[in-house]
Amino acid sequence: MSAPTANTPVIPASATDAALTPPLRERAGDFWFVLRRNPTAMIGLLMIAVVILSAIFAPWIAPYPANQIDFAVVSQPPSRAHLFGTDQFGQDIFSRILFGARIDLLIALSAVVISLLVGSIYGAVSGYVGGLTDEVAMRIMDILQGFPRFIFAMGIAYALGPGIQTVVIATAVLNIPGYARLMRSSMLSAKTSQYAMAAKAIGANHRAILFQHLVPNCLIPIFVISTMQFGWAILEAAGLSFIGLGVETSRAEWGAMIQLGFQDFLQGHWWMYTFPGLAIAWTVLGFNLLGDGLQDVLDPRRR
Amino acid sequence: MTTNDLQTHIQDAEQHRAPMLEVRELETQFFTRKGVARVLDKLSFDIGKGEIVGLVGESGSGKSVTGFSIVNLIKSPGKIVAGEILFEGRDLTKSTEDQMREIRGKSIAMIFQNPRGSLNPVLSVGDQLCQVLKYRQGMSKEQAKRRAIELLTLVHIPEPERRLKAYPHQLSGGMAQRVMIAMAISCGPELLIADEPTTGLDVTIEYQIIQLLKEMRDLTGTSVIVITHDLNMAAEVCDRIMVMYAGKVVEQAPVDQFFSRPSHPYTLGLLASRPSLHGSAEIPTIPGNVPDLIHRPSGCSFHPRCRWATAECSATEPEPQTIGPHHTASCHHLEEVQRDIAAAR
Amino acid sequence: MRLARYIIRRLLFLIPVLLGAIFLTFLLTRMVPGNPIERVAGPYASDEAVEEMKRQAGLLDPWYVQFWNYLKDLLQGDMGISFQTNQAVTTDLRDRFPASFELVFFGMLLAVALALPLGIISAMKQGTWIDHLTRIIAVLGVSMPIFWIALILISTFYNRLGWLPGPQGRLPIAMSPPPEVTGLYTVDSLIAGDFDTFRAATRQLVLPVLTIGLTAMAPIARMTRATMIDALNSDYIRTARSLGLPTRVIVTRNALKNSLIPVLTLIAAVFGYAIGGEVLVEYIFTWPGLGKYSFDAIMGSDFPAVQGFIILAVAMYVLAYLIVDILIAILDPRIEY
Repeated sequence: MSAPTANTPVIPASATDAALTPPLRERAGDFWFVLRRNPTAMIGLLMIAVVILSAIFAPWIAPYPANQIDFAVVSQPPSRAHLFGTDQFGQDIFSRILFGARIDLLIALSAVVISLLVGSIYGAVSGYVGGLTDEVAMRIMDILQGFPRFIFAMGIAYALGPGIQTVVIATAVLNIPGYARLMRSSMLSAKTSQYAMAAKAIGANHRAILFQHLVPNCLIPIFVISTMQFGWAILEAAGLSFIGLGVETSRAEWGAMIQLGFQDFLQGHWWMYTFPGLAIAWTVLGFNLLGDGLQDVLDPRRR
Repeated sequence: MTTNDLQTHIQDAEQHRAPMLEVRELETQFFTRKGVARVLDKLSFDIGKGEIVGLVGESGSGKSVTGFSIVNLIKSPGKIVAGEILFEGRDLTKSTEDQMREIRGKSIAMIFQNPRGSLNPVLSVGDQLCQVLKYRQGMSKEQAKRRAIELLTLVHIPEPERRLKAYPHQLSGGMAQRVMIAMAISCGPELLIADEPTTGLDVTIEYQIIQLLKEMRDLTGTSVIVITHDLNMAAEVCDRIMVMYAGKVVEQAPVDQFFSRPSHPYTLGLLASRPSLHGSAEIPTIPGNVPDLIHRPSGCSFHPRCRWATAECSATEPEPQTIGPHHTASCHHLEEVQRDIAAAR
Repeated sequence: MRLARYIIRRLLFLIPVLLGAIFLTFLLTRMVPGNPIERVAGPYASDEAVEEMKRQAGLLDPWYVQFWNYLKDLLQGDMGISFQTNQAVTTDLRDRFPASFELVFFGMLLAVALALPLGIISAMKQGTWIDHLTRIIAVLGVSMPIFWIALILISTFYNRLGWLPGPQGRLPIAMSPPPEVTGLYTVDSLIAGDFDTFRAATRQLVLPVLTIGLTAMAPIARMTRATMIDALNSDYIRTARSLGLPTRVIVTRNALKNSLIPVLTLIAAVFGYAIGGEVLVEYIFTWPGLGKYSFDAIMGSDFPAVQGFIILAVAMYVLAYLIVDILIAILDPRIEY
């Protein structure tokens, strides 16, 4: 069951193998060279830049504060005063979307960092120890991947109670297997590389050298996986908030905003859920396009 | 006129009866990120009807690119930028893709190194042979099957009916190459390009494949270009040998001439570095590497590796000099080279 | 027969994975706070009564005894009683399975029908604007939150245009389901010759199927493109080209079969995933399937139901892989079985 699943980016084995040769700096240069000529990746990068900028400058760009309740302008359709309309509490949706970039990027970043750390260590150790331990460890990852993803996240979120940390943890857990697999296969190829053999032969500290060799070689594939995981994390976090198990609707978070809009669904207040959804789609599309382009860069056959 | 002269004259007439393929100043370049690699550099040569010509050289000399240029199947970022490939009077470099497709297989066919990888792993031998016969010869299923069995018999595959059902992974390398040859000759091409056809095969199998190529020539009268780095093999199969270096033919000669009077310093290097059956203790190699095709050496491309090189060599490019009938070599110092060889003996 | 032996071998290989899944699910559901017994007993039950109920439910036994009992019951097809429906979980799951299957099956059909041509065209036009455009379209499907796609589709085609029915399940409320044969309303209504029901069931299906299709399309299209590019650059395609075979024949008869073998594995994975995973779609469309069931189960701390659902989902996932393994063994002559 080692085939990629719907939610794990497809990193070809050759990508990790190929990454094991030239020095990192030269590869990073190559990387940027190819990336710049890949329109898909560049569009993605541009889209992400917009989101990051709006997260940073939200207090200056946004016409209203994120949580300014104003019952005089409840459920207003888009107008000059409220570009994307207002919600049931008279909060300005455009401003909330700008501020929402902060929470959503923060959640995605934390989730990705946690799953990266846990998954990488898990995979590296599993690959290093090898044998039965490795076999069992990887079967556990198989099982985790076979779990219905969203239900699993719901279960965790339900157990932990709503809140930002909950969303972070629930999303992080889902993404561990991807990193574990990548690190394990990199570790296996590092173990058999001539470099490691030579280190062993001259009696150098084998383990230290293995990790020294492993880390720079994994950076680029991990970077690629992470861009895709970023997108997934945002979608999953939004999903959890949407069903009320994630971020509370009082906060300016995109999924929670759609939940608020959904409550008014039958009233035809389309702007309440349409715009936050567009914000999510924009951001995730940015990350996916970048990731898609990066995969091409990694796999020379697809350039 | 002596008898000897007369004989060469007859040979001459025979070989030059119809140069069915004329390559003129062909330039194929690869547009890489580091720059433009000029892989074929004003390459010119002729192939006569029914001739087996060996194209030899180190890897990177452009011999395979030559083969792929002829059928216009160079992979990106490679491109033919100048020159002519005259095949039966028409310039293939000016043909459209549709015209080229018509020519491939029917007029010019290829066989490749790694025959097993060159066959489709999920289609049976019969499927692959029959689809060529069906789509290129317009045969019905029944006709194609009968013809496929004939073709397999022709290339000496035992139990051809049974082999039709076999898949490439069930074949040995030699068997797979026979199937490739059967596919290549199935539409009766006038020219067969064999790109390293025996690389990776056992010596005995190699010999059989070479014999088969010769046999096919004798049977169908097709011309054959054998691309190889193996001079022993070329000696075995070819009527004529062309040595390529850095995208140019530096020496060409009929096979006996080639071995009896090698002239170009690079040819001498190749001959010296060839593993002989007598097993000399040490194989001398040509010093240096194949040149960087992006920053090509000035003058004669071989001069950085040549012990006869002078200032003239790095300044001007040598023109082909006639040494004997159909024997030319491009070198400024042919006399010195000959003198030194004589002295060494 | 050799193929049968191969299937049995593959099945045996999958048993540890399933067993592991059962154990992991068991552990996880036990770790979730919010004691279900207290919920069932209600706030007015005495402590003794709760204790007695726990004892009866076996919750006071050591965990390994509980696990062993659970496993024993499971083998007899007993997954316990759902706290919410008061029915056997097995019965609940069986009742809801066809609804999910119908939804996901048509969704995947749509996804594959869209993804394969997109991937193939993209690969053939690699690097051109057509390639970039098709890739953006494909990636777009996987970049939108699935629940949002559902909302937008409903608000457009139901609220605004009124072309399609609203999110009210598998059939309009006034209609009764066709006599059950397969459990798929579209199929059953055709079997019964009831075209009104067929039409109604199909109309109910359109929007959720579209939602699933759009999201499932992207990974399949991406993989098709990748494997197709590999195939088109392979030595055997070079051979086919050198023989002057027409492009159509090269793509369909020579490259496609090779490139589809890995894609098939992915399709199975997506399918296996989707059948237990379309929680949000079923929630929004009030589709009475497994996803909605498990959603309600989690929200109501319905242990046995959640546990039963996860095991079924993993089993579906594993089964999908098994089917693909068999298909690949048949399609790929290199695999010896």
